[in-house]
Formats: sequence, C-alpha cells, structure tokens
Amino acid sequence: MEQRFLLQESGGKRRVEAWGFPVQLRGDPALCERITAYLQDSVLVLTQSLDPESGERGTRVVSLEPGASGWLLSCLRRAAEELDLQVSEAPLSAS
Amino acid sequence: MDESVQLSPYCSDRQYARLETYRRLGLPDAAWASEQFQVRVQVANVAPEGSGGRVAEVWEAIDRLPVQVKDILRGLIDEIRLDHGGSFATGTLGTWRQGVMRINRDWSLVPALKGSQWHRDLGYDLLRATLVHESGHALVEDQRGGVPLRHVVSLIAASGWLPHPLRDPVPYGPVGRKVDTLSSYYLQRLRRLDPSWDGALPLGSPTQPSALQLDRDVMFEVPGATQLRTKPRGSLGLHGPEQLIARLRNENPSWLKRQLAERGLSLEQVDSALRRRRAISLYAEETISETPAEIFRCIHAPFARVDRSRPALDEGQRILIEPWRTADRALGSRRVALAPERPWEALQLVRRGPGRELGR
Repeated sequence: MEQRFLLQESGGKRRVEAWGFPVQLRGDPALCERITAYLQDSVLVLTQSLDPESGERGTRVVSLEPGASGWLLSCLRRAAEELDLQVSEAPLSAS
Repeated sequence: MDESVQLSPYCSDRQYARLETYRRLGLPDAAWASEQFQVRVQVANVAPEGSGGRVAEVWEAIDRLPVQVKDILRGLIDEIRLDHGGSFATGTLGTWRQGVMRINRDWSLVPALKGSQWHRDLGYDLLRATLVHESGHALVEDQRGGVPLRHVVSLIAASGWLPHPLRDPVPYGPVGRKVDTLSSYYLQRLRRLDPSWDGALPLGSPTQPSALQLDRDVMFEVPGATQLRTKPRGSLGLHGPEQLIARLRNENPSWLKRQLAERGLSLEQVDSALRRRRAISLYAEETISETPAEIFRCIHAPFARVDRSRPALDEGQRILIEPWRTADRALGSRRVALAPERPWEALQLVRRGPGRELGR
C-alpha cells in the first residue's frame, strides 16, 4: 500500500490528500492547483554519509528525481512550508 | 540543582572578532579562523581553478554562524580542514569526527549540484546547514559537549521513534504518552541490552559504547557502514515514524487489527501514538544518531517555517539550547571584539608594517 499524505490549513478548513506517482490529489480544487506547482521537479535533500573505515560522519546532498522514494514527501513539505499548511500521513484506517 | 542551570561546557567567555576586521588589517582568512576558534586550520593547497572563492565562502559562512555554533567550533573542534572533493564520499559537503571538521571545498564535483545553475544563496544555505549539523554531532557525541545519554534518548523519543507495535506494544500505552516516561523506558531497555550504557554520561565518554553502537542497539535496521563497525547483540527495534507508518500500511489490515487486539491495542491507538510526535526531516529518520544533530540544525534554520510546536524541537530547545543560553546569560552580553586578540608584538607588526615594528 502506498504512502498517503494529508495537507491542511492550520484552521483545518481546506484539505488535500496526496498519494502515488504520478501524484494523485484529492480535495479543495484551489489548494490542489497550488500544490501541483510543487510537484514538477527534482528536489535537493540533505542526507547522511558515514565512512565505514574511519567512522567519519558527513552531510551529503542528493537530488531526488520525481517518483523516487522520499520525493513526494519532500515536495509536500516544501509546499506546506511555503503555503503555510500542515502535512501529515493519512490515518492508517484510511488505507 | 536543576541541570538546565549548570554552566554549559560549550560556552566561550571570549568575544569574537569579525572576519571583516582581519581582512581590513590585511590578515589572511585562515589566521582569523585559527585565532578566533583556537583550531588548527588546513587548507588543501593544490586547487582546481576557481575553488579559491569557495574557501572564502567557507570562512564567510562560519563568520555568520549563530554564536552558539561558534562556541561549539571554539570549544569542541580542534581542527578545520578544507579538503578537495576527491577525499570525500560522493555528494558529501562536510564531515565531522572526533574534533576534526572537514569541509569539501570543491562542490563542482557534487553530482546533485553539478551542471545546475544553483544560486549562490543555495550554496550558502547548504554550507551553513552542514556546519550546524556537524556541530550538532560534536555537541552530542564529543565528551566535551556534555550532553548526557539520557537526554539524547529523550530527543529520540520526542522525534517519534517507536518499535513495531506487535514487537513491543508498551510505548503505545500510557508509557508512550509523555516523552520522559517513554525515554526512561527506552533507556531501561537499552541498559538491559548492555549495562555499560550510562544515562548520566555523554555518548563520547570513553566508558560508553560508541554512537554507532547506539544505532545498532536501538534501531530496527542500520545502514551497512554502521553494521561494519558495530556488534550485533539484539535491539530495541525502533523505526522512524514515517517509515513505521509505511510499514504498517503494507500489512494486511484485518490481520494487523487481529494481532493488535491480541496485545490489547486498536489501530486507532497505534495511529494516534504514531502521530503524537513526528520526525522533523527525512534526514532525522536516516539513523537514530542523526536525529539530535538534525534537531540542532532545524532549531538554527533561520527562515524555515517548520512546525515550531513539534515535541522534537521543544525537547531540542530544552536540552541543546537552554544550558548554553543560561551559561551565556551568566557571562553577560557579548559584544563583537574590535580587534584581533593577538600577542602585542604581532599587533604592532600589523599596525606599523614590516620594518617599522616596535618603533625602531
């Protein structure tokens, strides 16, 4: 079963559900349109590196291509930050 | 005495002189880094064309770090090295290990940034994120940082790390409602696994197992590199909240409901426990030992509109920031130093120029 996310305004009035790839959006049409703009490109994310020989830890930057694991959540988090929304996983019982 | 008011070991009682002051006096940037942060500075000297500007950017980014992070560099970092891309794993911007911070000075070789016309601000943001995150590792994993293991476990509990409910249902009951009861439970289980884990000592303490072993002892799955350097000996089996939700979604719902019911749990209870506390970023869910450093980075992210009410950030403020703030208040307000603090003779050389030193 794929991951499903809920984006909602802080007042909880308008909400959108997002899942899959190509990404499916369901909910408030105006909000869907605004969120779609964040679902077009690859995203840069920070992740860890660890040298197995020395134990040296590091910060790595990787580009997540559309559809890659973590890509959808990264895009939605960016949308949520810029549109002042809250993003969360849809309830388990909703799957 | 409340621990939060103890003088923090990573707070410096000296003022900082600005990089600009050194540049105005004609002093090299590396001298600024070395003198202001009491570190050995090494700059790789055979550089690809155009990478000189990158080195200047590194010093500028350090100059603009928040005072707490500067204090960590001064107190917990012994050496800063600006090395070439070839000496790093692919895509690595910077690293930390036992008092040494290495910064990749050649980002043109980083695949994610290669060829893209990224804005200079992005370079600065990534550099700052790297410096702050690696300083977070130093703060938590260096003995001199002074953050005790039990506080580290609190940060883990506040970030939503939970066991699979069928493997260990306890955190889904009353124990899991508060961060302090959940973290005491995790610590107790950890000590059962290996009594040498001591909640009162920092992770970097010589009598403590390593931070990487913490990943192995606490997480469900650790990366191969961690496995190579650690011992297999059972685990609390914690998952990041997003990963655990994804895993539970893959289970057959009716089977899962039946299994949960046998343990006195409902799907709604599990769902609500998983939603109570969330990870603050994908990075924080990579491995347990990345969580505190990532919390530290998010607290210092100047413009990110992350949900500031998240328990992980509240706990981070209490554990990673408040002791430093208390110590800083005790020292009084710190103003910028107007000149480098150098030996008097050296200062005369700078002011009068060669050949006129000491008034001769």
